[in-house]
This record gives sequence, structure tokens and C-alpha cells, in this order.
Amino acid sequence: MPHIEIAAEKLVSFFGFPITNALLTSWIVVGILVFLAVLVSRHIRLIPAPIQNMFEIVVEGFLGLMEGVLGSRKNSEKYLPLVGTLFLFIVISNWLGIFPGVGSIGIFEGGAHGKFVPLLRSAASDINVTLALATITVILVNVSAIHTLGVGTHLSKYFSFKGPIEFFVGILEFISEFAKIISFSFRLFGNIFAGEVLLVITGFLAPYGAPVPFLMLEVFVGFIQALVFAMLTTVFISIAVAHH
Amino acid sequence: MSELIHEFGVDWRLLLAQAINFFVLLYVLKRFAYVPILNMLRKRKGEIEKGIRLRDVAEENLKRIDTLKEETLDQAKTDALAIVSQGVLLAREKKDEILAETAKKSEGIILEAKRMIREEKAKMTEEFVGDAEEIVRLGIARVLGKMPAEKRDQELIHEAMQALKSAK
Repeated sequence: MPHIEIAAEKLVSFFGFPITNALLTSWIVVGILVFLAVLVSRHIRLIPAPIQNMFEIVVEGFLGLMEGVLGSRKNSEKYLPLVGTLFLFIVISNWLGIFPGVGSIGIFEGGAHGKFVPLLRSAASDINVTLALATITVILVNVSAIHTLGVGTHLSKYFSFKGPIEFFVGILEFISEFAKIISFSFRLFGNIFAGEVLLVITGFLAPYGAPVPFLMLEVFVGFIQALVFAMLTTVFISIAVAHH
Repeated sequence: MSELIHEFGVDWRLLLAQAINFFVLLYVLKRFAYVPILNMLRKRKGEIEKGIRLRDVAEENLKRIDTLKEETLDQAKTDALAIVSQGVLLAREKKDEILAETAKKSEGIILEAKRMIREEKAKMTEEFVGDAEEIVRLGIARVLGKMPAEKRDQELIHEAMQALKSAK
């Protein structure tokens, strides 16, 4: 029976800093996206090449979706870097998680009969990744709201002294910001971690053929979860920057 | 709570590392992907709009050129017809002129020919009368067996021939 760890496994320590398999995967994802971005920027043409075309499809698709929520092309272009980067990072790390070798190639700690530690692990199956993304998202959403509405107007959403009901609603709003972080991070973590577990279990019980439908399901789930994260961010931005 | 955090492996250092990771990615993608692509999309949109505008202008120009062509062709047809009509008229005039001149010339030629014939005829008659006088004189001499007195007879014969000539 394979051992399933909720926390990402530590591979090595670098001056006391733990380097986990999920962190290594994150670096690989960042490396892939940086490489593609630099490649695109060097060969950007009016008549696009295939890689530029792929990026343009993603950008145009996202701008279309965001325009539906934010109401204008200008706002969509303003928040595209945050939303687009969230989507690309999550979708690439989710899809990389089901690549052959990820989760199956690793080292045995303490000899051949020791604990198996995979070298790579889907980034979003580590709560540190999803928690970091959720925290950044909520902080940036509030920064955007302050930038658009001003500090006083924005803080008056949370701390209102117009009456007891408004005060109570404000406190609830404030708490909901933390709830957002929790729901954001645990939704993504739960889905991806559950998918990993599902793949490990099906691979263990019926290794030949049985995991294939689940792999296809994970491709779909990986995409949907990235889209949900990105679209929820857009919705939160649109709510936060709206004038009440 | 601390057990839960430990169980999930929450570590502030990893959180920080992931946050830095994300910000680096955000910066690089914004710098190298989003901004250039958005600029390129705007530029392409501008080019397409310009192309459509130019196409409209070209279509408008083409329509105007077609109209101008039709008008020019119509004008050319009208002009050509007028030129042909004028040519026909001129040709007729020229023909009449040439015919009249020819008729005049032929009349002159005929008159000249007639005059020459008359002169020739007169000359021939003169020669004939001269010859006839001699023949008559020789004939009389033959009949009478001697030659008449030349001068007297010759005058008589000459008068007779002149009378004959004028009688003619």
C-alpha cells in the first residue's frame, strides 16, 4: 500500500530552508512559463507564430471572460496580469502533476525499505502553495480596492459606525476576507490532492488501463480548478472595486 | 490548531518562497508576455481597422472610377459618332467638289479635243483641196491631151475647189 502524505515531502535543506518536492515543481512551472514568455517576447510579430498564437488565445479568452464580469475592456486589461498568471500557474502545475514520473520517481529515505519520497509533486497538492496564492489574491484585491476607491471608502466597508447593523455587517465582511483565503486555498488543495490520491489508489489497485479515465478526469479537473480560481479572483475584484 | 498546521505542513518559509515564486512569475509574464501581447493586439486591431477603412475608400474610389469610365466611354462614343458624321459630311462635300472639278476638266478636255479635231480637219481639208486641185488639173490635162495654161487653169480650179469647200 503506498504511503500518502498530506504535507509536501522535504527533499533537502538549504541553510535550514526546507526544499520540498512541491516547491521544486513550482520552480519548474515558473521556469516553463518564464521560458515561454521570453520566447514569445523575442519573436513577437504582427502575424503570430504558433507560441505567440497560443498566448494570444489565452489572453483573448481571458479578456473576454473578464470583460463579462468587470464590465469593460480597460479594467480587464488592468487586472489581466494577476488573473492570467494565477490561471497559467495553476493549470500548468496541475497538468504537470499528472505527467509520467511526477510522483513516481523519487528516493527512498533510509535505504531500500525506507520511506519513498517522490522527487516531484503537483504544486497545488501542497497547502503552502494554495495558501500563498489565496493570501496574495485577497491582499491584491484589497490593494486594488484601496487604489480605486481610496483608503477611507474601502475601510468603511469593514468598519462602519453608522449603526449596530452596519457595524455587525462590516465585521462579517472583514471576517469573510479571511474566509476567502481559507475557502480559496482549501478548494484548490482539496481537489488536486484528492485527484492525486485517486490516481495513486487506482494505480495501486488496477495499474493497467484503469487510471486512464481518471487521468483524463484530472486533466479536466486541473483546468476547471484553475479557471474557478481565476474567475473567483475576477469576481472578488469586481465586487471590491465597485462603488456602493 | 498547531497539530493541524503541522499535519498539513504549513511553513511560513515555504509560504514566503511560494509567494516570491508567484511574484517573480507575475513580473516576468507581465513584462515579457501580457504587455507585448496586449500592445500587439492593439496594433493589429489598429491595422485591421485601417485596412477596413482603406478598403472602404478603395471601394468608393473604384465606384467613382467606374462611373467616370462609363461617362468617358459615353462621351467618347458621342464624340466618335460626331466625328464620323462630320467625316461623312466632309467626304460628301469633297466628293461633290471632286466630281464637279472632274466634270469641268473633262468638259475642257472635250472642248480642246473638239478644237484640235476641227483644226486637224481644217488642215486636212486644206491639204485635200491642194491635192485635189493638182489631181483635177492632171486629170483635165490627161483628158485634153495637153497641159492647160498653168496659171489660168489653176486659178479656175482653185476657185472651183474653194466654191466646193465653202459649199460644204
